[in-house]
Amino acid sequence: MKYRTLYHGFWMQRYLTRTLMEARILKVYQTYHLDHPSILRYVKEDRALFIGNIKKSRDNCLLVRDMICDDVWYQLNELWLWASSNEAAEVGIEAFCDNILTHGHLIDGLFEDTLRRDEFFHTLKVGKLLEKMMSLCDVLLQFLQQQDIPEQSLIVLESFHAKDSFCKLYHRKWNAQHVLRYLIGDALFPNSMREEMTTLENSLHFLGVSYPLSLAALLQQLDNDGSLVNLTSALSSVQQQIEGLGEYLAVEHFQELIS
Amino acid sequence: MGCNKCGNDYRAVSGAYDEYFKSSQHPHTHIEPIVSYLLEKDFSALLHLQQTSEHLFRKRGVTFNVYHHEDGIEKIFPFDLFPRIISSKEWTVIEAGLKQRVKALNLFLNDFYGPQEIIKDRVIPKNLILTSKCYFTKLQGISPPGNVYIHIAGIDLIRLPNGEFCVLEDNLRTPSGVSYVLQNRLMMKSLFPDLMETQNIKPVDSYPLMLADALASLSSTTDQDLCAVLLTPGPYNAAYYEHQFLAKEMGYLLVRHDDLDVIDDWVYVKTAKGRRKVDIIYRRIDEEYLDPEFFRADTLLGIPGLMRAYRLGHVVLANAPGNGIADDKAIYTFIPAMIRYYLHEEPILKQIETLLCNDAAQLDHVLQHLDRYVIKRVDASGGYGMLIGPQSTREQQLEFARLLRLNPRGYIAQPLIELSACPTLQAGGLVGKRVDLRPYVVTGKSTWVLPGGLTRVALEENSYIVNSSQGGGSKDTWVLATEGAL
Repeated sequence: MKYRTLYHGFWMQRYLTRTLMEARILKVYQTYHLDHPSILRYVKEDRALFIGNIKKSRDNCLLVRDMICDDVWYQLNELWLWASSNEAAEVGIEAFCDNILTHGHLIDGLFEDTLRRDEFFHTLKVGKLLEKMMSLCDVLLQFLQQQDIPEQSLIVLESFHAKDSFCKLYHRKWNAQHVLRYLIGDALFPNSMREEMTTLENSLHFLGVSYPLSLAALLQQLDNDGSLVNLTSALSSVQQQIEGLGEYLAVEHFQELIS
Repeated sequence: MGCNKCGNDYRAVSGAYDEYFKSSQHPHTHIEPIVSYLLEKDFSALLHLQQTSEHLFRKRGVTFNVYHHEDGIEKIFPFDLFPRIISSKEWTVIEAGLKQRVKALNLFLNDFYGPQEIIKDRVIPKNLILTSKCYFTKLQGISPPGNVYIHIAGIDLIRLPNGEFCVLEDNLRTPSGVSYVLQNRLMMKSLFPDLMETQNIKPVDSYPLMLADALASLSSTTDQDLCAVLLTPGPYNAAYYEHQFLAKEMGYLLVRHDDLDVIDDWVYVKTAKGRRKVDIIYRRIDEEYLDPEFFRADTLLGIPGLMRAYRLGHVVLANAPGNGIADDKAIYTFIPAMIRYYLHEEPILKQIETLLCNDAAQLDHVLQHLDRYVIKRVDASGGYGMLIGPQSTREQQLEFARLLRLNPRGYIAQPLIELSACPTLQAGGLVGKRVDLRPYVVTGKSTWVLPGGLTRVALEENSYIVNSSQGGGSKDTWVLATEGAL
């Protein structure tokens, strides 16, 4: 396996996950007609941004095509061909996001099912988790600023596929404290920050990357502080860790290995 | 015949051998069942299948890169549904002729970079060969592993109006296009599964493994430890899709120049688990860019020291550097003589009469009859650097006259040969379009010919140019294992 392959795989997965997260959030936003101006700063109906990210993912995929199964390439290539077509320009934003999500979920499933658990797989995993955690941090920070709006509990849950799982536990009696505790600290829900952090650490360990990450302060704060107000700084700190890791990998780690 | 369907109003090419019909409405006997099947199809259904094939090729990313094209960089190679069909009897001759030709060319390269007996015996003029742009004196005395220079040859064949196949040119450096052969076959299996099932067509899908086995047979390393890479110039190369496809199918690592380095005259690839010694490099980079220490110093694609490793036999390079001398179009003229000289046999496949412009009398004749000849640059490919005299303007002829006088060694002239034509689906109906054939010959310890090859089609009206970069398309090529019934 070449370092260059890992590098392009990393960016393929990051751009793809970024696209999926934004499509998911935008779709939830549209579905629930949540039009509070500050609810999510990056919810924009900017199709050019989506198409640009899909293209970047596809361009990187093109460079690792010899490492992945054909079906992954077909799905990503087809998504790009469709997203940049006149047909896509004419559909509503919800249908646009739906199609992105359909392809994206297929690709995710294909990666899980077809890749050997080697450096490439773990690199993709790191790329994916970085984007997901960044997105979750963004959403939660926005949420904390506007905690008096109950609908935002819903959007946070929907955006991370957590609603059904959450409701099984809490019988639809959600409140801000519950939502946050669930999405940050639940040990069994795969999209929780705690679970993602654990998986991320495992993949980093496999790749031999040493980078300090910790949720301890955030989790302790969550347990201690029922008002949630003081969570912001702890969450920001996690966000900085994740962004720092992303920058370290992209700017230093892969470049150093390639050169 | 069922020509009231899609075959209705078929427009053949006048004067050309027709690959389907021996006379108006009468198909060649060996392909009668296939022609019947295809021509019975509803025309609009076939057009729909044609569109499906384009969609599938685009989705699968079976493309080549063309710059400054209005549809963007990635373009699909136009594919036609009507296969080109070769009988087993015809193929037996072609196969034997190709093996003979490649064997002689390989002996020539060993001789030329060694004792040069063929020059001493005046079979090939010394001044012609030593003035080739593809001649690198530094390669003199370097022998490739197993003495194999031509691991992969793409020999372009055309069929004359009398039905006989003959060689148009040899591609012995980095012949491309084989991925489309494999993809075209997959497409035909998807679109016509019932037809494919009933025909006894020789398979092509073993090509990547045959090539990998052939190259492995020349390496001194045991199979278990073998590390083989495909060296690509990168994603902007026209054939990048093919590089990826072959690397994946052959189980090779796809690498660029900066993924490799040479330490103590051994080649290594940088992997996530450290450096790994490389045994085989299937290069898709022209030789002059391979190593700045040996060839062009200004190359940005080279691996410094690669040729030192190669000289010591530490790595197999496929194709071997130096092959350009054998596919120089001026040297082509002497290949029948080479076959007689090295093999003491008559050439099985004929070739086109060729005039050498570095001969004063022949140049004079060509200059006086530029409107009759096809003028080709001796080192060009892709349909570039040529003049098709009978279809050229006066201005183009004057420009070529100037070029010929300036550099007579750089050009050859051939009469315009009427290529054979094959029915091709067009929006207006079934039309005869000119085709050529590029079979692929693979050599390791032994030689193997991929059954069929790439049939390229000149899709433009009245065109003779089949190259993908200039409006050409392709067809699946079927070699019948037996002349079978449907």
